[in-house]
Amino acid sequence: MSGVVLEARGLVKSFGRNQVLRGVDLSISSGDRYFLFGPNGAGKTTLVKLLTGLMKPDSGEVRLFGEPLEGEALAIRARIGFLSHEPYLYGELTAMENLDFFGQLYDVPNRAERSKALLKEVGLFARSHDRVATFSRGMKQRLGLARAILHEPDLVVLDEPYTGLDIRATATLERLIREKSAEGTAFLAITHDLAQGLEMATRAGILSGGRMVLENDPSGWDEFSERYLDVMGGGR
Amino acid sequence: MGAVGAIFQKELRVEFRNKQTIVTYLLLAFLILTSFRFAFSSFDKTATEIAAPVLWITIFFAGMFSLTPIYKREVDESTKEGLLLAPIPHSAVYVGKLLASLLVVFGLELFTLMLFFVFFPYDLPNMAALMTVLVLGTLGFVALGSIISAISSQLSQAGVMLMVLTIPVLLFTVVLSAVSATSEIFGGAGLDDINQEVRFLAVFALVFIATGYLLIDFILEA
Amino acid sequence: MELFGRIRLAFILISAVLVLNGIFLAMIWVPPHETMGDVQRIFYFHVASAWIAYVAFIVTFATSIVYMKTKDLKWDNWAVSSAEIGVVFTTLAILTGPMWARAIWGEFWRWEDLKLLMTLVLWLVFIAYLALRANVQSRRSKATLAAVFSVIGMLCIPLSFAANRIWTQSHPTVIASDQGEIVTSGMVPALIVAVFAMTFLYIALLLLRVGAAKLQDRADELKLKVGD
Repeated sequence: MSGVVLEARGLVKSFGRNQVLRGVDLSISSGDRYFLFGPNGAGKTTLVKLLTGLMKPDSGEVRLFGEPLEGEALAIRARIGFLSHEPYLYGELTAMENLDFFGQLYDVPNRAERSKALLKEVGLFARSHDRVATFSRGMKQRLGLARAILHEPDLVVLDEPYTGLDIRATATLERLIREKSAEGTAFLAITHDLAQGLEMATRAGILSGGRMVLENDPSGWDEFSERYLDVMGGGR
Repeated sequence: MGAVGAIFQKELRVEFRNKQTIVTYLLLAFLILTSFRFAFSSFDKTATEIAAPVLWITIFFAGMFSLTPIYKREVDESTKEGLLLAPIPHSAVYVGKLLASLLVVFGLELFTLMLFFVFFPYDLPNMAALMTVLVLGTLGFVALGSIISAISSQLSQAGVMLMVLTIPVLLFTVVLSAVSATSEIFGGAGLDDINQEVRFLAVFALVFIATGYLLIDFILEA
Repeated sequence: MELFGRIRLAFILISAVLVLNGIFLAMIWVPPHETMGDVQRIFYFHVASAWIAYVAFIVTFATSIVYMKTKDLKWDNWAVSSAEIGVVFTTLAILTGPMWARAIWGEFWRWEDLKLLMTLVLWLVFIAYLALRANVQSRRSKATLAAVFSVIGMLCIPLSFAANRIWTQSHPTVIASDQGEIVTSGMVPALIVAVFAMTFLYIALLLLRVGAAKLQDRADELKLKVGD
């Protein structure tokens, strides 16, 4: 599998009096590990919501896997995995029941086997039958990661994936990202942490004041870091 | 259909895992009936006029209370986005939750009915007719109640707003018609005598199941 | 002056003339009713207000549907404006009704009367609609959720009419509603003028209110630019 996975053109979005995005373009191909940086309030989370179809742009277009993201777009949604700072898990259900539920929604084949394998992968197999409400933040985030990749998506979007992660979870996350992207899965991650992000990224961008101010690949990391510090230091 | 089943199963698991939620609904129904019993303690116990309103008002308020968290808890637990991102039509969310709520409310009604006959010792009326009215009335008020529960989950003061929004549209339609039929049943009527009410309740249920199915997109994406 | 403003001014002037005319006809020109006397004069305001209550509700419903189709907030402005004016006229109808009823029927309210109950239901639905709007933060969510609720309300009005019909059929109560409703000379023209006056007043108020809503949206837009 190759080619462009995600393409966004001229995305504009306002909330009431506040224009959050002012014309953002973005293109991600399969196997990419695209990291997006930016100060608070730069519009990163809004951009992610537009790209996953949780919100509609005021103007501009999002295309995923060559198809416009419009209406219910069930076939497109089935190919995206999403992990935000909220793990989207039900506290009253056990780890296994949570995965089973999402497995049903995503129509995952062999979901019992797949869930078990993933629980082992994220180191939660021993807690499979405990209620998620009893989990620590790091454990929930790990289970959230398992939930996000349960259906083997072609594009995984990670919104601040490092927040609340313990060392073990971070290691698991990074290992999974490298493995999956080698298999062709595209990743889009948002983070504050420049050092950690650039170590993982194959491409990176800075979003500031609702615009993409710089995009670069590993050959330009030095310039990228300087520019990022400028943006962060000078506020928006 | 897989998605409807998944949501139905998930809702029931969440509802019944935490025993205190279900116990609170039963307790509320019990307390409302007790209040009525107290309020009417000086009335003639054999007068059937108060039977139908007492029964339905208890069912309405206890039922509405149980509908409040159906969508609200997805908002509170931040799981709503997870559902919206899944590759399932939003109407599946509505239908799955509707079926689960119906099961819970029916359970609540059977409990209320048993208590009712303990508190108000009437002779047993025509049970086939009573159950028909109960089932159709419940279909209607849970269908509309769960649409409004989805709306109110996005409002401040969700619990109060559910009542403010449902009373004008439910009290003078389903509750009125169900009370009308039920009081005839307590007066000795059978199924044949209440076919107008039965037809009305069936139409109401159909109209609002269809409305919820069609409008849930607008509500969840608002 | 732009066209919208000119039309609005025309409606304000026409409604002013009609309202004054209507008050004159109802209060002075029509002779006192043969059996009901002067109390009957409330009737012109009552009927005209009740009429506007229904018109306003239908306008809110129709513009809400258009909003749901187009997602253009301009239609939501029409819907909320009509609802706000509608609730005023419905309140008028509900207040004037009992004044007349107390004098003629000897009681303020008759729960068995279908017309009364329907106006009450309409009033409650309007109030719930406005309460809903007051409890939403975002402009878009407010418009969408309110539009959905107005559809529900609109479906419930004929349904509660039907439910009440069935109820009154199976629980017959004596309604002496026709007593004294004999039409006397002058009543018909006075009523027609009253209904027209209220209709033009409603349109004039609606245009004013929509203009205000439009200005509010424009102000929000400008504030957005200043913040840029």
